[in-house]
Amino acid sequence: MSEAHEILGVSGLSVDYVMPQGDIRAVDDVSFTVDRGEFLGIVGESGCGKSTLLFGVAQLLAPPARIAAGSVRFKGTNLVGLTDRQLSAIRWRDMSVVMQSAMNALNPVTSIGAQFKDALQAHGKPSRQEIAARSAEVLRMVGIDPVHLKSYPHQLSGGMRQRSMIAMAMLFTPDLIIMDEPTSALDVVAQRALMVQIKELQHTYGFAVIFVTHDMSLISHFSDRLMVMYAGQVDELGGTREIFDRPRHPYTKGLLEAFPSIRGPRTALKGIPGNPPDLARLPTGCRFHPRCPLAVERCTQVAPDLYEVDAALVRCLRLADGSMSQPTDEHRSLTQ
Amino acid sequence: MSPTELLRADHLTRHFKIGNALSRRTLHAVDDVSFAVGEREIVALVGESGSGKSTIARLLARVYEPTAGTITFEGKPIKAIRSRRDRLRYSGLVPMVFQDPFASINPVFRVQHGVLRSLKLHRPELSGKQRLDEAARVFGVVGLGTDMLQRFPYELSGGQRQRVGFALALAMRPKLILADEPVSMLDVSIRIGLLNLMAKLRDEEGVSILYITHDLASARYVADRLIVMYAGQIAESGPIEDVLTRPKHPYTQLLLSAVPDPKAPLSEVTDRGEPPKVIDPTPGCRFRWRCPLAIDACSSVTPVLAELGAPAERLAGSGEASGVAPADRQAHTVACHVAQSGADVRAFAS
Amino acid sequence: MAMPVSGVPTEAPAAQVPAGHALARVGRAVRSNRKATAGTILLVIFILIALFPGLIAHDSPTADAYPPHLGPSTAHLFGTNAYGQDLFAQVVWGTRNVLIIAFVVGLATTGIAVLIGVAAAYLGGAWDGTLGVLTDVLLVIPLFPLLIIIAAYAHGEGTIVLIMAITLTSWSYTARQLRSQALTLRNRDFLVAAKVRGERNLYVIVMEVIPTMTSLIVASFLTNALYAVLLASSLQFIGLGDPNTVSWGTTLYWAENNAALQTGEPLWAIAPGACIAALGAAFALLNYAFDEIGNPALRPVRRSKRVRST
Repeated sequence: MSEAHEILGVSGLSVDYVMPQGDIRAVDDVSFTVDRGEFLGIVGESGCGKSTLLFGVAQLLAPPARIAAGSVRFKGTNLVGLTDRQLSAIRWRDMSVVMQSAMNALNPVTSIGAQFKDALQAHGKPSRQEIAARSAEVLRMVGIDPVHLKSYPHQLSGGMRQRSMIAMAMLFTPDLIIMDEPTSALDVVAQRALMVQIKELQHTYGFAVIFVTHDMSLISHFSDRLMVMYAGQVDELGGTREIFDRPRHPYTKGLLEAFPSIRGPRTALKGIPGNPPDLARLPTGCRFHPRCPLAVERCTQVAPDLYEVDAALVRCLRLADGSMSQPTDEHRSLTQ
Repeated sequence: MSPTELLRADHLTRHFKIGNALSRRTLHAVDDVSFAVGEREIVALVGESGSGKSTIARLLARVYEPTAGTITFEGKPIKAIRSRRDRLRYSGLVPMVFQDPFASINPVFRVQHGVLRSLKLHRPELSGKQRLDEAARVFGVVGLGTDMLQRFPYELSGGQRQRVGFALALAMRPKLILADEPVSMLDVSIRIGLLNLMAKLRDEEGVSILYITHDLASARYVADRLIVMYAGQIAESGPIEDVLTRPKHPYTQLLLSAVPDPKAPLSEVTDRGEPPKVIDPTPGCRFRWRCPLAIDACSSVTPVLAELGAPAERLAGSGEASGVAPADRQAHTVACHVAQSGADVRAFAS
Repeated sequence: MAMPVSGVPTEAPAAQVPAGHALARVGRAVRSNRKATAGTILLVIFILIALFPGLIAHDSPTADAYPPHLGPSTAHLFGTNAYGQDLFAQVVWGTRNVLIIAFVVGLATTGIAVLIGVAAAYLGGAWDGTLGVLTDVLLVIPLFPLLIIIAAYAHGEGTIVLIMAITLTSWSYTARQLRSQALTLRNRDFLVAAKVRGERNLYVIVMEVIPTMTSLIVASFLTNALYAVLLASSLQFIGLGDPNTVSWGTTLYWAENNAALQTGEPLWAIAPGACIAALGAAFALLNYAFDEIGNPALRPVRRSKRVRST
């Protein structure tokens, strides 16, 4: 992961929700990098902070949420603290976002073509022919007949809506596309088709993807690296295959075992007992210890850092050989 | 009727009129569907959106009236259930659990409100104290502490709210729970808990469940039988392991191949996942446009659900046009001309 | 973990307002929101004045007991008018009339609107059609001219007629609003769930639908009360109320009749006018505050006090 290939560097990012009873830290000191053309998957249960993290990276947080600490270095520039005007130069040209539910993100009272036009006109003065040409082109990229430029979102199926969201994100062929659970409202065949589509586009146009989901098995074949989040922190970060074949953090293991399989023996699964913690009342020490089958006394007292274990980063005391390892050099270089 | 049969649907049909006065068209949400559910079993009703599975749930819950066909419960047609008392009794025996944990509970009341109301309506013989005790009991059965009774919905997680939904259904001492995608909106890691709960309800409380979902993996985990729906009709049906290991209908094979499995290599799926809107359909198989194996017959003759190897003449045009032979719910049936012809169908590799 | 708030993902931590008795929660919300506190204090002041006017103003508002045209002094805080009446007493005693109109009209208007709007939405079909026609007829008739006509016919009959006239002409707008909101709720799962478990229609409307619409209903009440104050005062000002009632509007009427602003007695007009504005502001502040309490995205973000975490 050399500097030359890095397109996004997040260092020590923390996001707080400002509440009358005191601030709640939804994202706690998260650091990671994304290289050009890389597909990073971020997984976790509801409430782990993954969507908040995404919004923090894209500078889309609205009150009461705000960035409390850290930096987001995109192509060399720190996005945190930039004005809206400075950000709008980057938005959609170099970095775009695909939301969870197209019905929430697409304007229901204007046609798809009109929304593409809005986006294109926000960054320059294209002529009518240029607008028409580019709009048709991006729709074809995602396999939608350009005749649907005249359609309204409710006239398209769920799968087509999501694909037109991706088409819209591709209008300027950005270097990075951030996706927040774009497949969760789709059926299984449409989900598969969408994932394959995204991967193909990635191969052809070379953009990087950050993909947030709660469904690990969905991205197992598509992401290069995987980041597992829990209670606002990164619990495990490493190559996708590596994590699936050899999950290290007890939470990751629990997650992987919570998926009923379609083949293989039918065994009873337990899932992970308990619930994710209330961020306003976090447990002492390791945030996962109340639900961890391997927790010991020390886990209730010491909050673990991210330790390098083989090729991955893992937030677990017991995996760091029972002794308090120093955070790795790599981790240190990511934090300011 | 087999002795343990609880509910059966015969030629169940539901159409919706759509369009304005100028262009009247008909949406065939459910067309000629026949199936049965027995005691102590979980039947999974699987299909994409638009397959008609949710409409079937609402037909069984009497939210809609059927356009044609009959529903029989405990041997009696439910159309005959007219008085308020009988309606109430039916809704207690066949309650529904909803999909959206955030929209299915009234947000302004404490979570015990729904359970207490259900008890008041369906078990009027209980006193106020007995109602509270029963509410605590069913909360315990679904794995919620009694302290949860006093909480408001916004204090509970999605998984906990869905458990409240099951508690509500349980309080009425049901025979058959209609679970309409009860886990689809929950995180995958939370689903297992709810699925285990459903299995527990079948085994320990003796309740049958019609589990409606689009997720084959969870259906496999918890169900005894599987019914695959496509475009308002049943494509395939049978014991779950049978159907999943030897799927005969190309659509079932498509679904199987699209299920993500981290342990297996990625299967080739080119289908875009565009389920049909079934408006004024023509005769013939509704899957033919997406089916790589379609033959001539598929465009003109609507396939009939039948056991594999059963001669077509026995079923086509006879009194029991389509539907599972009454006594044998365990038969593996499929509605596909190509599969019925005996060919070894492999439309989609999985 | 709900509270979907625009722009903020739905993972926002829930359970900020601890469960408790509804009144206690409202109390907490009012104290923590500046607009709510200001509005509540203003409204409470006016309510106290209306309840105990005799304790605050020792003079009779109607007696022409004093020398006219006096300026403000410690004996007469606002001075006296052309008839020798104590202005402070007039304004204080007038509060009662205004508040009665505000609350009665507010409650009546909102009550009628709730019944008609929600029933129309929930029952649908022919009910919706008929009630809709009724609502729309009243909606399109210009409000103020209609009021003038009604009040002119009932000239001198006093406050009750005023209340009835304003209520009659005001409920239709709110009914439309509430109907729209009820329509969006109609197919929510929890209502289908209520019907499926066997509840009757009336129960569902009253016990399940209306409680979820409380914030809109409260907002409607506050808006209608505010408009009642303005409408009633306007009618009284142009002479269509009973000119012998003690009220801010009638004080303004007499002030106008005697050209108070030009003849060097500005307080005669300004005092009641300012009160109308202040009461209106109280209702408006409370309206904003309820919006913010119900929708946290609208709350102003202040400097964080302390960070909660390990």
